[in-house]
Amino acid sequence: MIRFQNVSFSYEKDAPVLFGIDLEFQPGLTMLLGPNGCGKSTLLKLASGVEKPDTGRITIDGHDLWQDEVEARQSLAYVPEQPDLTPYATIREILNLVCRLRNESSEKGMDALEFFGLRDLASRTVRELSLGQRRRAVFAAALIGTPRYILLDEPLEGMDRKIKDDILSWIQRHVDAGAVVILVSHTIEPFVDLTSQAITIKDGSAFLYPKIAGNPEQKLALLDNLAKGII
Amino acid sequence: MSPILYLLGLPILGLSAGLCVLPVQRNLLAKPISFAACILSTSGHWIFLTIAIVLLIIADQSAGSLSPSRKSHVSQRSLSSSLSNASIVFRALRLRILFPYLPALFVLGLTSLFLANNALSPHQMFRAVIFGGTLSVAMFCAFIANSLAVRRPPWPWARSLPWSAKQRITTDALLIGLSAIPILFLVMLIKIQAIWPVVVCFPPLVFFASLTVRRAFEYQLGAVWQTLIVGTTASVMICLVPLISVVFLAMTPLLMKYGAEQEKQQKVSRWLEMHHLAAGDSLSWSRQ
Repeated sequence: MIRFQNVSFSYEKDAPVLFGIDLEFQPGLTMLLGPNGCGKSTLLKLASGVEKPDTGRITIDGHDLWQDEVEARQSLAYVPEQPDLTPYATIREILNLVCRLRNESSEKGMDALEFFGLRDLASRTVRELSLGQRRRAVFAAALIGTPRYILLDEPLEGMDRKIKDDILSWIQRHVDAGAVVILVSHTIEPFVDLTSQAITIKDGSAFLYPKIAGNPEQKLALLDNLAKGII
Repeated sequence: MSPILYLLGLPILGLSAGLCVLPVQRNLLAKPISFAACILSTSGHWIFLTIAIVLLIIADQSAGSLSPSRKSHVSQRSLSSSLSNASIVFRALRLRILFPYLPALFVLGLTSLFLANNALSPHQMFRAVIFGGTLSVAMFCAFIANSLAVRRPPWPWARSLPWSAKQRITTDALLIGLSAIPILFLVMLIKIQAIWPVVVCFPPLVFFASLTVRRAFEYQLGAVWQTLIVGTTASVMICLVPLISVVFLAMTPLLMKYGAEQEKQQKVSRWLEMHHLAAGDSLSWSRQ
């Protein structure tokens, strides 16, 4: 379980993006919805340990994200919207780093690259790759190991149809296995059936919809409203 | 003081340093004693060397048996991930890694010229080499830290991986430290007796440089000036009172802790979030 306790965060002084966030992310798929710039990606960055909250604490399985850094991040996979990989590293080096940190063999990394059709590009540096290839490389890193906390920011963007289907079935498998999946996406339809709870952010505060029930049309209508900022 | 005594001190230094890092039953008792033996073994004086040997024996006897390492697999993993990270950093720097040697060699050259063209007593030579040696190490650390900050800016996504801020800081410090070893050898060639204060103040300088990599973007002059100011001040102080280097050494854990805190506090995605991707905006790069 990922738990936010009174979390506040701002990029600039006196301009809080999120404040007083108290949330619990349960196993299953949680959709983070809301209009552009409301703070969805920032919430995901806080949950993944990319940014540190100004106040409050975030725990994963009871481990504080900024005190027990390694333990808390052990089963975490984060795929950001912008694939911010360090430009001078080769794809193989990045995947090797991830394999070593997650205690997996480097073959797992190559298998993940194979899955995303990047095996032939493994020795290329990040700056020699297109945006789509970079995104696939980050996704390949997420496939390594058995993550139980999966944070995805626009996972289907820039992917071809086959890979989209593969990603959807990968998410489905992890949701069925009891993983906590948090997803930010403006494309709601493919995830409607899988979604068990939704969160929307308005004026820096988060609103949780813990049980999304009903038939697919009702669920879609609710998620659509939340995405538009209608609470 | 004879160079032989320094050489004799090396195996004592190795053994006591080993005892310092090994997990033993009575860590709290054995580690401070072996640490003191480390310091004394570099003194080049037979009395201190004898005390170092006695301390090493006491530390060894009081340590007890080796305690099973709880996190041996974690340490192995962190070592191999540090190597992976180092290879990425070397790829980013490439030949730029040679540039920081220039100012360091310049300072050492000036030190050699100063020694060659002045009639100095051995004591004055000792002090001059300590000053030049420490300053050249500080110069190297300052410029390589700046290259690191420029060529390998914060990597937001990597912060979601299972490694700690302390680990990232230490990896950078190791990288800077290993690259600076040739400078230490050159100082040793100029005057071997003057090497110990430079070596003792080496770890805090390296960790400070690693810390400034995290703060480089807050200042106009990047990571250079902070390390230079601290390094120059340290050089003057150690030149006047060489034993002060031990005080600097004692500050290393604090610098590591502060560096890790700085690493955590960075708002790594601020630029991207404040400006987003300004596609089609020709003025995006001049935005404040």
